[in-house]
Amino acid sequence: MPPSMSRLVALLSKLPGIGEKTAHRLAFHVLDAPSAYALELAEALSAVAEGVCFCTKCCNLTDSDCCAVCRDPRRDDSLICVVESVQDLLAIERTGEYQGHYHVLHGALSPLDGIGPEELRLETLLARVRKGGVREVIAATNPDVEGEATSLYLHRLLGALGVTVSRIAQGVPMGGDIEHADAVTLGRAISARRPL
Amino acid sequence: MRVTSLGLHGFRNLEPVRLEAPARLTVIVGENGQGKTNLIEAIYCLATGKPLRGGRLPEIVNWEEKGCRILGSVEEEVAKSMEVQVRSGRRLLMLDSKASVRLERYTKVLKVVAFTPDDLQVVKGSAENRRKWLDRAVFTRNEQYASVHRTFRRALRSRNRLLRKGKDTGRVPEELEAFDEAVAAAGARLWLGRIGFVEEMARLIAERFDTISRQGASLEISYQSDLLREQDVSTAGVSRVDLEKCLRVGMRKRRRSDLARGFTTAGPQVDDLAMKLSGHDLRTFGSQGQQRAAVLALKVAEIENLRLRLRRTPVLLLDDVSSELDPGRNAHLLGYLAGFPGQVWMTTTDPQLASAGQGPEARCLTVEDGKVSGEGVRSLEISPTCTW
Repeated sequence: MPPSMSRLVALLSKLPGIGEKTAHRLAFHVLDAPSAYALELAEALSAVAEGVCFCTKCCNLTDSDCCAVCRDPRRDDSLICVVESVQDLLAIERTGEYQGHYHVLHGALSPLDGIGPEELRLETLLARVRKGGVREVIAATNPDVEGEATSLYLHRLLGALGVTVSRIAQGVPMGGDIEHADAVTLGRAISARRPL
Repeated sequence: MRVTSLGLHGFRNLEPVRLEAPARLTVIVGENGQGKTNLIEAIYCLATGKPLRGGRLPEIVNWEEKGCRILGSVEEEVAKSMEVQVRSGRRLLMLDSKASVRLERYTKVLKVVAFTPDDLQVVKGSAENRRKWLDRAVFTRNEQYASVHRTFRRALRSRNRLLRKGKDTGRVPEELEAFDEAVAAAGARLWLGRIGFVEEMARLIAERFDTISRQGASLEISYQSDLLREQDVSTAGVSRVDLEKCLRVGMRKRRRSDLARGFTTAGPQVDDLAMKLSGHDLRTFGSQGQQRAAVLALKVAEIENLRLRLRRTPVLLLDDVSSELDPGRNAHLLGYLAGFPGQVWMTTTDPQLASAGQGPEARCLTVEDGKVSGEGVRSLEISPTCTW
C-alpha cells in the first residue's frame, strides 16, 4: 500500500469506534469515490479544525465570536441553563421548550478524573452572572455523582451572588410505564412530586 | 426455584460439561483440590454474575481458554435460560438468549444463598467481613441496592481523593462541600438498606440461634454506627432525611481530622454489625461452638427471610460446611436440609454426609481433576467460544 494510504488508515483508526478493518474499508471507499468527494471531505475537516471555536459568552461551539443562541435576540437574557457538554445543549435545544441562554462547562467536577473547578469553564459564567440581569441559573448536569456535586457547587458559588439556582427535575419518562421505570428514578419521582 | 440444567465451558479447572435435570439435593464428592467448590461457584456465578470468593471476574476463566461460558435453565413459574459469558475481563449476561441484560434485572431470576467455610469470618473476622456479608445479603433481598452501593462507593472515593489532595497541598479544595453532599445523599440510602435489613433479620436470627444452640443463651444483632450513636439517632423508623443530616453533620465535624488523615473517617464504610450473646460480645466471649452456631443461624435466617419476604425459596449452595461445624451443628444442618423445600447443592469430603446423596430425590456427583461424573452428566454441545 502506498504510504499516503497507510497514513490515512492510521489516522482513521484513531477515531472512536473505528478499528483497523473499518479504517481500511473507509479509506478504500474514499479512494473509490469521485475525487471531488475526497477533496470536499478534506476541506470540511480543515474548516472544522480552523474555523470552529468556543463562543466567548457561553462556550458553545461557533464559527464566529458568538454562537447562534447568544446572537438570537428573541432569547430570554435572564435565564441561563448550565450543561456539561455541547451534546447536552443540543438535546435541550431539540425539545423546543427552552427559550433562555446556555452555558457549557465542558465537563463536570470529578476528583477521580482530576477535574476540579479550574478545569471547568466557570470564569465566564461567573462574569455573566456578576454583570447582572440574570434571574435564574438552571443546573442541567447529569444525575450521577459528578453531575450532582457540580450542581451543588454551582448552587454555592452562584447562590452567594443572589441569583436563583434550580436543578432539573428527575422522574418518569413521558410515554413510559410507571411499572417499567427503574426503582431509583421512580423513588425520586415520588419524593419530588408536585401539587396539581 | 431450581436449576434444571447447567452447562460449563472454560470455567476454572472444570472440563466442559453439561448436567441435566439435577435433583433436589446434589451431593458433590471428591478429594480436596479436584474442583468440587468450582462446581458450586459456577452456580453462584450463573445466579449473580460474580465469583464466589470475592476474587476478580477474569480469574474464573480457565488458564488455557480465552473466555468462559456458564449456561443454565431455571425453573420458576416459567422456565428461563440464563447465561454468563466472560472474556477479556468483560462480562455478558443473557436471559432467554437475549443479551445485555442489566445486572439488577438478571439477578432477580435466580436467588442463591451460599454457605462456605469463609463465612465463619463474618463472626470471627473484622468488621469488613460483616459489612461485606450485609451488603451481599441486602443485594440478594433487593437488587436495586447494587446501584445504591455503587453510587456510594464512587461518591466516597471522590471525596477521599479531594481529602488526599487537601492533605498534600495544605489547601481545602473548594468543591469538597459539594462532595460531602454527594456522600451524604448516597450514604443515607445505603444506611436505609442496611438498617432495614438488620431490623427484618434480628428476630429471625435470635429464634434460629435459640433452636440451634439449645443453651438458653440469646443472640442479639444490631446495626452499629459511631455516627448514629454520637448523634443519638435511633435506627427504629428513621427517615432518609434524618440519616442524610446525620452523615452531613458528622462529616462537617470531622472535616479537620479527615483532611489531616486524607480520607473519610466516619460513615457507613466503617460501621459494624454488633453480635451480642446474652449482652456480651460474641466475637470475644463466645465459644467456638457458639460462634459456629451463630454463623449457621445467620445463614438460615437469611434463607428464611428471602422465603418470607420474596415468597421464593432460594437455591442453597453449601461448600464443605460440615468440616467447619461440630457433630451437633452438623446434625442440625442435616435436619434443616431434610425439611428444606428448595434445591440444595453441597460439596463434602465426608463419606457419611455423602450417603445423603443416595435418597430418591438426591444424587451424587464425583469431581476428579476437573472432570465431573455421575448420573445426568452429558457432553457439552455448545460452541466453546463466546458469542460476542
